[in-house]
Amino acid sequence: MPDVRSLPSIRERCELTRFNQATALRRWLGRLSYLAALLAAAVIVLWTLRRDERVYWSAPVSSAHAMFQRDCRACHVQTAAPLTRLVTLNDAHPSVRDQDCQQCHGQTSFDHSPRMHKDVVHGCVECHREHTGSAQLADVADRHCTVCHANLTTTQGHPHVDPSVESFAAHPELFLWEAPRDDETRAARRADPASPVVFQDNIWRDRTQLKFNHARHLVTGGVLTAPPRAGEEAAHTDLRVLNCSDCHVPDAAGQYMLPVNYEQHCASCHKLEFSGKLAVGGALPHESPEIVFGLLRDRLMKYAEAHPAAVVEAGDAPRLPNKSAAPPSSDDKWQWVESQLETANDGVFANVQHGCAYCHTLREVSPPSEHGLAFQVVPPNMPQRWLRGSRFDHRSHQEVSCVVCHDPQFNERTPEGHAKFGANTELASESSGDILMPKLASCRQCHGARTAPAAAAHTGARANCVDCHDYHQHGERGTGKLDVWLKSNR
Amino acid sequence: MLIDRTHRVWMAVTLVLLAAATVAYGVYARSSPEGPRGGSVPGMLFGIVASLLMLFAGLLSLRKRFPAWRLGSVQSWLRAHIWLGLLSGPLILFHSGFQWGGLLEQIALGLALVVILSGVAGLALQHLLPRVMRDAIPAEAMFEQLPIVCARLQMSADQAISSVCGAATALAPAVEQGDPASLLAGFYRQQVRSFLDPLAKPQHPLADATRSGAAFHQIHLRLSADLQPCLEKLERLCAERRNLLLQAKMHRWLHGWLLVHGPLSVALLVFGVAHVVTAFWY
Repeated sequence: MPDVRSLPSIRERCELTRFNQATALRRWLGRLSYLAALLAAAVIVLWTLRRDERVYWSAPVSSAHAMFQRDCRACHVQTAAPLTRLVTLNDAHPSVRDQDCQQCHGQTSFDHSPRMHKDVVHGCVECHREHTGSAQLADVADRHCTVCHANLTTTQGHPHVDPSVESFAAHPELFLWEAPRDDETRAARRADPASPVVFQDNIWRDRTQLKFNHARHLVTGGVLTAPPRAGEEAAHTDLRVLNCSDCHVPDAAGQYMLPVNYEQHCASCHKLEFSGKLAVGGALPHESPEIVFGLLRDRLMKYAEAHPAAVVEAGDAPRLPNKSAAPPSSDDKWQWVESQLETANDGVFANVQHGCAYCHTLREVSPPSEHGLAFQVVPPNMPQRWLRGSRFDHRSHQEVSCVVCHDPQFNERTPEGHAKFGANTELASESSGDILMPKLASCRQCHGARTAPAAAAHTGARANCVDCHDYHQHGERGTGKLDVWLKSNR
Repeated sequence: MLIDRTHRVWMAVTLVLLAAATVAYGVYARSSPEGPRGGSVPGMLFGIVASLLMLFAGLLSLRKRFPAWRLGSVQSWLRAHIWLGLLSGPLILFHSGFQWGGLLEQIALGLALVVILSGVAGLALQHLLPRVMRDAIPAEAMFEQLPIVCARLQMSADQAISSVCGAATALAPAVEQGDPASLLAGFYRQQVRSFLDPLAKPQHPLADATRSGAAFHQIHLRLSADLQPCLEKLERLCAERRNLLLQAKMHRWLHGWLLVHGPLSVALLVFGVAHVVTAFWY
C-alpha cells in the first residue's frame, strides 16, 4: 500500500478545520478523572462519618493499648505535633508526650539510672514506638540501648557496667564470672555486703554460709533418706533419687525459683532429731537458735519434773545411807536444766553430724549470751535473685536440662553440645562456694552468636537487650518481671 | 514521546538527585534505632519533596490546556513530568521507609505505584509504537480526522461504483439481476460500503486481509474486464480502511494507558491530601 502521508494527500483526505475536536478517549479521560476524585472524596467522607480513625493509622496499636484504638485523643492529646517537628526540624517534639503516657504509667524516661545523661533521651516514644505493628511496646530495638552502652559515659564516676557493649556478641561475661576490670571495681564489689559473691583466688566464689554438696545429693543411685545412726549403716538402704526440681520449685509465674525451704525440701531426710534427753518431745523445729534454745529449756524442765531422780543423781548433795534422797527443789531442777543446756550447745548447735553445724556456719559467742547460747548461726546469705540487672524466665527454658546452664563445667564435660538436652541432672559441684549460675556461653548455645551445633540445626533464639534487661529502674526494683506499673487512678 | 538525546540532562539530573536522596536515606536509616518512618523530620521531608514532585507532574495536564502560556514548551514540561514523576517513586518509598502503613497509606502508596507504573508503561508504548506505526500504517491520518477520512473513503467508493453501475443500481436496495454490474453493486452494498463506514467494527469480514482478499478474488473472477478497475479501487479503499482500523487500535494502545494514569493520579491527589492532613494533625 502506498504511503499517503504526504502533505497534499493529508490536505485531500482530512478536513483541517476540524482538527482539535475532543476524541472519545479525551472525553472518557475527563469523565473518569472526575469519577475518581468523587469516589476518593466519598471514601474519605464515609470514613469520617463512621468516626473510625483506624484507617489513618500507619499500623495497629500494640495489644496493650488496643482499648484506646478508637480514641486517638487518649494518647494524642496535643495536635499538630508533626507540624511542629517539621517547622523546627527537630524530632524532639513527639506526637505523644511523656505526660500523656504518664496519665496511666508511672515510669519516666529518666528512671534508668541516676547517673545517666538525660539529654540523650527524648521521651517515652523515642523507644516505645506505637503504630509499628509490634504487639509489644517493650520490644525495643537494641540500638536504643547501644546508642549509650556502646560507649558508655556517666554523669559521675566510672560506669558500673562494661562501657562498650555494642551487641549481644560483644556482651561481656555475666558479672558473676567476669574478672573485675580494675582494682576499684574489685574493691567495690568486695566491700559490697549485698554482693552474693566474693573474689577469691582469681575466681568468684559464692558467699553463702550454708554447706551443701550438690553432687552428693544428685548422685545417680540416689541418696539415703535419713543419715544412718552409728552401727546402722548396713541396714539402712532406703534410697531416693533426687532431681533438681525436688528442691528448686518455680514460682507461680514459672519465672524464678522459690527459695529452698528446710521444712519442704530438707526435713524429710534431715530431721532435727537427737538422742538422750534432747530427744524429749521429738524433732526440734528449724527455727532461730534463741527459739530452739528456749524450747530445749522448756523440754528439759518438763523432763526434770517428770524424772526428779535424774536431777537428784546429777546433783552433788550428800544423803544419809539407807535414806532416800530428798525431792529436788526448783533451784535444783533449774540448775540441772542449765547444766544440760550447756551440753546442748555442743550436742545440738555445734553438732556437725545432725545439728545446726551440719549445714550452717556457726559463730562462737564468748561469753555466752544471757540465755547461755554459745553460738550464733551465720545467716546463709542466699540471694533470691542473682542477676538483678536482668530478667529471666525459667518456664520458657524448661525444655533444657538444669545442668546445661547451672553446671559451669557442663559444657567442658559434654562437648557434644546440643545432645545435652535431656534429663541429665548430675552436677559436679561439691561445694556451696561454687557459683552455679550460668556463664554467657550457656546462653550463646541458643541465643545470638550461636555455636556450630545450634547453627547447623537451624535453631536460634532472640538475643535483644530487652529480652534480658529492663530499662526502667534498672536493677533497683529487681522484680525481674516486665511490669508496666500502671497507676491506680485510672 | 521518544526518549532521545533531549532527555540526557533530565536523566542526569534525576540520577544525581536520586543518588543524593539514596545516600541521605541510608544515613537516616542507619541512625534511626527503630528504622525510618514517615513521621520523623527526614521522613516528612522525603514525603514533602515527593508530594511536590507529584503535584508538579500533575500540572502537565493544566499546561496542556493553556498552550499559549509562556511557561516553557509542552515538550519540556513533558520531559520534566517524566523524570521528576519517576523520581517521586523512590522518594515516596524513602518517606514510608518501605512500609505499606495503614489503610489510607496503603491506598495512597498503591495508587502512586500504579500511576508511576502506568506512566512507565505509557512511556514505553509511546517510545515503541510510533516506530511500528510508521512502518505498518502508510495510510495513517490524524486520529481526530479518522471519521472524516473514512467518510471520504466511503464517498470515493460511492463515486467509483456509481460511475460503472449507475447511481440507482449502486445504491438502491439489493435486487439481484444476475449481471456483473449488479453483482459488483451488490457486493459493494452488502460488504464494502459498511466496512468503509467510520463506525465499522474490527470484527467486520473485510477487516481481515485474508478474508478480504478471498472475497475480492471471488468477485474478480465473475466480473467483466471493464469493471475490474472499479473493483481494484474498492479493494484499495478497503486496504486503506483496514490500515485506519489498525491505526485506531494502535492509537488506543498508545493513549489508552492514560485512562488509568490520569484518573488514578486524581484519586492519588485526594487521598494524598487526606494523608497529609491527618498525618500533621496527629
